[in-house]
Amino acid sequence: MTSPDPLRPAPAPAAGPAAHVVIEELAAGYEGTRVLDVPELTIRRGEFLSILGPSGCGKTTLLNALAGFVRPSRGRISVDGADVTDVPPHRRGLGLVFQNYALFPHLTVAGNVAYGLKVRRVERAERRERVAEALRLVGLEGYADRRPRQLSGGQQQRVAVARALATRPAVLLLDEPLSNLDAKLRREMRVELRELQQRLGITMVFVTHDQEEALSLSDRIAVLNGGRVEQLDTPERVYRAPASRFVAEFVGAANILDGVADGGGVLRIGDTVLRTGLPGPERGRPAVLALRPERVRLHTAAAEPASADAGSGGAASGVLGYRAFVGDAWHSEVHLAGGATLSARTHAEPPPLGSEVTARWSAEDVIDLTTAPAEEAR
Amino acid sequence: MTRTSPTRGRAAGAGYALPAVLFLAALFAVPLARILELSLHPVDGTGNPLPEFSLVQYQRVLTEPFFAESLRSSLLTALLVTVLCLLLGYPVAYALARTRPGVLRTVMFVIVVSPLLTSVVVRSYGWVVLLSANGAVNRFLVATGLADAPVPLLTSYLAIVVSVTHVLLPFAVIPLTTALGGIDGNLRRASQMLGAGPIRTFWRITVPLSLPGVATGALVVLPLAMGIYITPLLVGGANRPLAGLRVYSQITSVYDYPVAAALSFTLLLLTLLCVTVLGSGFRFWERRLYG
Amino acid sequence: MADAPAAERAATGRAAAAPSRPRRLGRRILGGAGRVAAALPAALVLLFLAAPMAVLAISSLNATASLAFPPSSLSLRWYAEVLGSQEWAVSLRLSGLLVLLVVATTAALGTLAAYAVARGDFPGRRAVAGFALSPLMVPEIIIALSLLYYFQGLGLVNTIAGLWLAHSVVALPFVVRTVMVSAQNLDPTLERAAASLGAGRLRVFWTVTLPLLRPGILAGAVFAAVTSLGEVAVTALVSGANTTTVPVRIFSAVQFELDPSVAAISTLLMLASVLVMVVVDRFTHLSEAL
Repeated sequence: MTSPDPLRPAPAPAAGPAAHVVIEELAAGYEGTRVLDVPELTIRRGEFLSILGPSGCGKTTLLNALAGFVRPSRGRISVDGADVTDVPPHRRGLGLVFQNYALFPHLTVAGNVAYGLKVRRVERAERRERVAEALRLVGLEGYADRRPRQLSGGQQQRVAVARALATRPAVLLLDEPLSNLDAKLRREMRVELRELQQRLGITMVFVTHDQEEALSLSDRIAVLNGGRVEQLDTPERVYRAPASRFVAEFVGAANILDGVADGGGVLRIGDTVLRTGLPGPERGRPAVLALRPERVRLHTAAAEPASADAGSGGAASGVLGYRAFVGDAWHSEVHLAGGATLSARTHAEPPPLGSEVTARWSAEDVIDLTTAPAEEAR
Repeated sequence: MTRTSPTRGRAAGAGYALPAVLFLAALFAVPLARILELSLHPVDGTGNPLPEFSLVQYQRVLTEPFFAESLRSSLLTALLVTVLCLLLGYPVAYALARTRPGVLRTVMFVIVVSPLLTSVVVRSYGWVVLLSANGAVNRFLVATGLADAPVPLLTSYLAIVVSVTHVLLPFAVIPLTTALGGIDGNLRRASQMLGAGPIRTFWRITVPLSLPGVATGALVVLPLAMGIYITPLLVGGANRPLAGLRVYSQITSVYDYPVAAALSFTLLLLTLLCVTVLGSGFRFWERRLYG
Repeated sequence: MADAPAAERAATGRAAAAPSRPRRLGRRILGGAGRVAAALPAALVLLFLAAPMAVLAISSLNATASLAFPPSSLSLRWYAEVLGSQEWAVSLRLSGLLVLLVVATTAALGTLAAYAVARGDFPGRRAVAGFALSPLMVPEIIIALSLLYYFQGLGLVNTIAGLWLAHSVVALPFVVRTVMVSAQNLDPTLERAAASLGAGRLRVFWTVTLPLLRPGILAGAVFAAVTSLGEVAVTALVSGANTTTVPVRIFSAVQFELDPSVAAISTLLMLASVLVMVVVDRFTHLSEAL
């Protein structure tokens, strides 16, 4: 078995021309409880793929299986067409950036970056050049002789990236690398990381529980829940067309309208009755719909538009129970007659608390998830 | 007491330490000072100290081979035992640090600390039984033809080194286990992800990062080994040239307390010197490693 | 080179997982061998640690008056002899009494001192810590000689009080050290939380600090107990005919005669210590407290 050479041109892989990492029938678990069950997942060459999910969803196990630290109970992982399922981590030729960076405290920044190159017996002169290049890539040229503990969190994070990139890995895995940074730095690092990935054209697999991070960074997102991939799609599709109720609720905020169709586009949720705007399933069928808060418009009874807008789309009436300014918008909650609550995110200031309001939305903004629970049950 | 103290701001908590400090002052510092004073007196013909001060006892300790030889021998033995404890303790500490809590770990732990939990005489007595003329080791040697007749192991230097190492091994294993257990597992994983196999990872990452444990282990074992006397007395007899044994025999059979005190203090100074040299050596090394 | 098998696997689809199985097994065996190679030295050292005590325990079952190992026939007669002996009974009572006195003394003094050193804020804190731990740095023979000379002047040689004080000096640093570890890991916000709820300093110490220090105190108490129970280096010099502890009686017996009754009492002493530790380990993880 030859170790995978990262510089080798791609062989013709099994699952399409762009497949770089292929996961097939992968299952992993400790003592009977299955924590991961991925029938098929293909990571394309040069893409930025996020693995998104709540804690305990199996994303760390998936990453560790890719890295080689978790031995899957079943299935196959191949990189560049070569089966690496039984290859130990140090022969996989992958890079990993750890959540806590895992910088070697007894080595300098340069020593950390050079570590993988020394292992590969890269000549001293070339090694020095590649260390300098990797540090330049992350903007830490002047820090070669510092110790990790003399650096700030953001700088440590950059060293971790530089260290992983210096060996020119086939794939760079990132395990929540931004979660230990403060909010401002996190946003900056997001841009840097994305730029770096596009400049190098390297395949990155990014594990995160932060949906905003996943949305803003990725070419594609794999949403994981309970060890299964719920959806694998572009950020836009994941947000606009979530494949399940879980995805709808986990990625972005969503009003979930879970009730029974009453015919003619009317949905009954307990005692609340609202017009969905969709022709809707036939009378008596259960229906689950999702509606993004930013798609909800609020109208007071006085300012009710008389145009066609009032007639088409969905609507529900209620009392404004909560309103708060959140910086770039207003967040408000409408208590509908019958007990249900609807969240709205509007740019216009909502009417005062206690006002009678009508919430309206367009039919195309309603996400129909009705089939999803049936799929789960299957 | 501290609660009502007017100087609570700056001296917070000092009162809590007071009982222990007074206790140790009365029963540790004062007795040491008393024998330091005793060591500065010459003795008359029957071994009774005379009132005048002199350094004659120290002169005896440093010039008479009976004492000087024992100091040298104690130092070498202590260094040897320290190195052995670290070498033997490392694999056990590594295994302990890598074993998840459970029955196996508890059993390993009980074995490691069992020498601490049993009296030094019990431990040494175990070695006496093992090493005596009709003990297990000699029977094995004779049975396998490695020796024609029982070897007098009980009075050999080897028996002393082996049994002292055994007695002090837990003091090396415990700090080593703490240091090894404190190494972030991700550092090992990071090394592997960069292409280093288990052996290289062990030498490049685990060993350097366990250095503080090595230092602590050495600094604990060395002073204990310098003054040990019960174990060598039981397995090697009272006549071995070790400083601890010489002090013991001066007290119990010669009744020359001043020279015993002078030898004790010379031993103490030698111990402190070693600890200081070793300690600053380790500190220098650590600073070089961690910057 | 790797392309051909890859293409083959792609062609045969799922069935391709099969050829990898022997390889996987091979690697597992190799990995297992590696782990054994790594564990073997540890196992040998553990054997070395356990050997003399195991030998002692087995010798104590000797039916004859010899300490031959392995024993030719087994019996419990030496245990009966030891337990029926008046001399050993006196020593056992003395050792038991000393353990209680020493544990109480050192736990109280050591806990307060360790708490002060780890959490207090006063000048000379480090010096106090160094002083409290310094008996560990002084070779045992020196402590023995100094206490012997000191006690001779005070008339404490061959008294229970003398042994109690001597054992406490030797055991105190162990308590200080274990409690210090616990105190350093103590979250200071918990004490502040108690104070913010209206508890006075003494009440905070009694209801929050002490319970949180318990693992360290228990571990320290075990060490103090075991130290007292096994102390010979100092005891051999400051005890006398009326105050012979169990280990000192073993010590003098071993120097003059080797017979299995000494092995029997040693085994009993050993079992008592291991039992205490295993029981305490159930309540607190001693292994972590060290």
